[in-house]
Amino acid sequence: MLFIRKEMAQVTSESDQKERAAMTLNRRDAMQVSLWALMCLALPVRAQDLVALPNVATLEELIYSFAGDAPPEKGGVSIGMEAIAEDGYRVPVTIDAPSAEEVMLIAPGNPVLPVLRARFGPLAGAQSIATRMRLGQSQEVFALARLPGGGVNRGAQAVSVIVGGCS
Amino acid sequence: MATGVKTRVKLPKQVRAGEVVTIKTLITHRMESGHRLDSDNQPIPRSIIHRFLCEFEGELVIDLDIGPGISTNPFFEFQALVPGPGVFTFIWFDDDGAIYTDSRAISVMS
Repeated sequence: MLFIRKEMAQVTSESDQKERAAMTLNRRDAMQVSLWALMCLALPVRAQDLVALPNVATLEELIYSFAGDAPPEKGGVSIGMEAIAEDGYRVPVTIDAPSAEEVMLIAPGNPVLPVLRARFGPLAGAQSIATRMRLGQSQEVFALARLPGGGVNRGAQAVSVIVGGCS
Repeated sequence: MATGVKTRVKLPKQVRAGEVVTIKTLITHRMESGHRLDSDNQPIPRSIIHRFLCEFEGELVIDLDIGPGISTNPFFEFQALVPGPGVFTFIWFDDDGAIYTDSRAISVMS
């Protein structure tokens, strides 16, 4: 009896493992499929016109595409932005991520989540970038920063928008 | 190619070697997001600057992937390390295939 149970347990753990492997594959496959779909949509466009920013539907997918399996840690990257944006069409924003090699600015409340991705080269004097962005509605804007060691940091800033800039 | 596109770059003409300078760039561009509708309720196709590059003598300073969430007339301010005299090159990539470039020479105080 005990022997049988043990065997069964082994079988379940084996099938579990297989299932888990299949699940990871599924996720990757899904991402690849969506990437291919995107490329097919963009076929009439020349190669240099392809969007380099990931075109994904959900925030989770976007974070996964940047950070992979490493969960982003809070701190290490700051977003400089007024808490109240009068005009959602042009909101000044500064991302500061000391020692990061790459940062991504994300607006979860916009129709297109990824706003900007910056890669800092060897001649970047500081890992910071300032620009002006559009905000469709009040939301918590956040930034991810990849460190040379592979870790990922995260910073956020809540902003109230008076006039939305995405219509 | 979009008409009336103009690039602007602001940076010091002369620095000390090894100094970090602030560079401000702007390009006049509508940055049509692709999410707006025209008067007939038809979507206006996306037309944006989707990439910006800054290099100094072939070495990368900053490389930006840009989405439709960046405002009309995209403005960027960043820092660059100037190891010696040379030329900064700025490149903007338009959705319509156009590539706009600008460059600035910088000299070093003796």
